[in-house]
Amino acid sequence: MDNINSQFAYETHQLMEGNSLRLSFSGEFSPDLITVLLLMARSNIGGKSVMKKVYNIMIECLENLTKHALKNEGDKFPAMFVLGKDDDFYYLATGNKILKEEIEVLSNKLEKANSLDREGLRNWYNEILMSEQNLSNKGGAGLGIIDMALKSGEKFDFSFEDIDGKSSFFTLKLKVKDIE
Amino acid sequence: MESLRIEKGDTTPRLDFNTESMEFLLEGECRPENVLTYFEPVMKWLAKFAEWAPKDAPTKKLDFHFKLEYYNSSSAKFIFNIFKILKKIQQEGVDVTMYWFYDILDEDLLECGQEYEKILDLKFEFVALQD
Repeated sequence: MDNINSQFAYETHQLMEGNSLRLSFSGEFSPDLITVLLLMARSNIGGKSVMKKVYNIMIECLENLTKHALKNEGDKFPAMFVLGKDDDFYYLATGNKILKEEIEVLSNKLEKANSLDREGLRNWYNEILMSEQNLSNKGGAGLGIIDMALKSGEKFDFSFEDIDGKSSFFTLKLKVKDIE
Repeated sequence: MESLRIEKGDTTPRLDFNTESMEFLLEGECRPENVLTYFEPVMKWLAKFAEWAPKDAPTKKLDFHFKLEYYNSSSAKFIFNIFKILKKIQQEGVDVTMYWFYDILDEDLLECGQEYEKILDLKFEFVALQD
């Protein structure tokens, strides 16, 4: 904790301001925390139609973090969330540890979402909705990524960084065009 | 048959499925911590309702007021299953109308309703709410 001095606070502030960060949290995500972050985001987004989109995508992002972030014992910072804004876009980014064996399925799904246009995404969504397939053991229906892609109208930006032999750090960034 | 009522929770909607007036309501936000815990009793109740309504309902007309402002992707599947049961009831002679309320600024929610209308071939009325 020695490097937390006034300079650190100033640098953190500069970093957040420089990247137009409105809201950021790093730690363990719980349903109660989601409620608090949503309240904070509401006061940061304003009252336009874009607010609905950002708010809805944000819920989906945060729920993913509570469901899918890998938490090793003693791990205080298994996941992070960031909401930023520049002149044209809102940005939502998440980061969390995952098991290496989960990368392939996740990355295929994100690439498929990026390759489809709106109608393609709709059809894919409806296909899953109408299938008799049940919820995964984490309570997901498999609709989350498609839903986020439909609402954002933009492509996913994502990466996987090696942490160790077993796990990777998964980052996902989405943007939403700010329409006046 | 008894009506089904569930009070609004922090992350769950108000639900009022009234078997006397045959007015159904879902209102608020739907992002339950555990979707199964929330929806399983609802689906069980609806399965019984689907047996009962075509024969014994006081009126063979059902109005569903869909007033969810938000539902998460894990709830979507259950909502679709609720609508499928309504569709079945309709095929057995109950006149079902879906009133789909949406904030005029929320084009995504309107689009979701239009998709359900297309897939299910139920009667939808879209009601735009001004802020």
